[in-house]
Amino acid sequence: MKLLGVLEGLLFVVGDEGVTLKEICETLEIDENTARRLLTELKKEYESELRGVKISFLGETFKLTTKKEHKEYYQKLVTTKEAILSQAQLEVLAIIAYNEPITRIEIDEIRGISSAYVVKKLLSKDLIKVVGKSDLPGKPNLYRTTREFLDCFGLSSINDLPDLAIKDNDEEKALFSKKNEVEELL
Amino acid sequence: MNLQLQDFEGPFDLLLHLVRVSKMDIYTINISDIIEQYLEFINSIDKFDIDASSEYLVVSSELIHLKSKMLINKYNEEDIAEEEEYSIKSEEDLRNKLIEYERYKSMTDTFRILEENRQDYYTKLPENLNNYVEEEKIINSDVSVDDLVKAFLEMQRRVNFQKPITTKVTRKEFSVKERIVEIRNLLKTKKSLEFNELFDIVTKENIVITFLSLLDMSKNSEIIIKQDKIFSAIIIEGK
Repeated sequence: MKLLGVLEGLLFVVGDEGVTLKEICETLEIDENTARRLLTELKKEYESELRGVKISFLGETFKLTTKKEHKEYYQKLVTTKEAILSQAQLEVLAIIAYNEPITRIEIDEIRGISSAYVVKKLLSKDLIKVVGKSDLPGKPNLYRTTREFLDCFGLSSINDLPDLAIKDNDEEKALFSKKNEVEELL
Repeated sequence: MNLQLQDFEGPFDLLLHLVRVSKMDIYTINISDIIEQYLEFINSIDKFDIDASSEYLVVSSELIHLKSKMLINKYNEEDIAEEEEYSIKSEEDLRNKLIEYERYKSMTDTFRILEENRQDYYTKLPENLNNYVEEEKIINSDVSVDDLVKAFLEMQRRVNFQKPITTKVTRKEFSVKERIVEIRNLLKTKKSLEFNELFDIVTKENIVITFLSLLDMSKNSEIIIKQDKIFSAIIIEGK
């Protein structure tokens, strides 16, 4: 079918920016069901061992990517290792991702150290963006993670974030230990 | 223990490390022991780089405050509310802060793995489609030669506005005295003038000089300046 080819070309053209279901519908002038059907069809074709690419849903968009199992071949082409995020950058990203939108001061409070420089770095890497101002005094900027952030960690959407380690008995435990101490001190 | 400040992401990270080293858990560890170790560590740094360590010092002073408070009144929790200016308000508060920080810190390993996995497959930059965009624009819009001429004239008119910058040298002689004479002549032919009429030439120079002239003339009671109601036109009349 002709449209299947167009869809494949479309995915090639948009590259790492990806394309949303809505955009596919608009470009190919089809409804969502048809778009979904085409996507599944193409996806199935790519599953063949004879094909080198696949459709990934990353950062809320569909993109063409290479296949994991072929990585050894491509990695021979990589001369410089891609800059990996620093520990500080990962910390700030995690704090923003689980609390967005959030101000820088709130990030600083959690980390106990200024994050101004790290936030700037993350902004320049397009991993976070300013989404408005808080009503707090001084109207500080509010930050949010971007689609690039999701892609960077291979996530489809913000709902795919790994669960934040919450120990259910946190508070109880804290209270309990406190009681113990008081008793000890007595 | 041979550690440096650079090994830590901040004072909380250092505190967590000390908790871990003492093989205790945040819930049960003796806070004053940890404070002691923290201060010991800060004091043991020989080369003190104030830029890199100022935040550690802030926390040091907070911890000293907390520790002294713990010594003085161990159970009085009522004055916690009065501790507004301190970011670490109580022993429990410090515990909670460390617990919260650890929650996020522990996530970074997961993110690190996700990041590494994502590097197992590649994508590419979008194609540059600008060529198509522009072609389409020209075909679709109905721009005629007339529009082009209009645009050009409009541009020339704008250029004219900016001209005084280059002709400033000749205008230099333009003085308040001359402008007063001009205004006087205008008032002779026209009895009354609208304030706005005097500012027909929109240059900074003209606006300033005209305004000064009006002030001058008003001061000398040469003219009367009237306005019927607020925001209405200002009328200038000769006496």
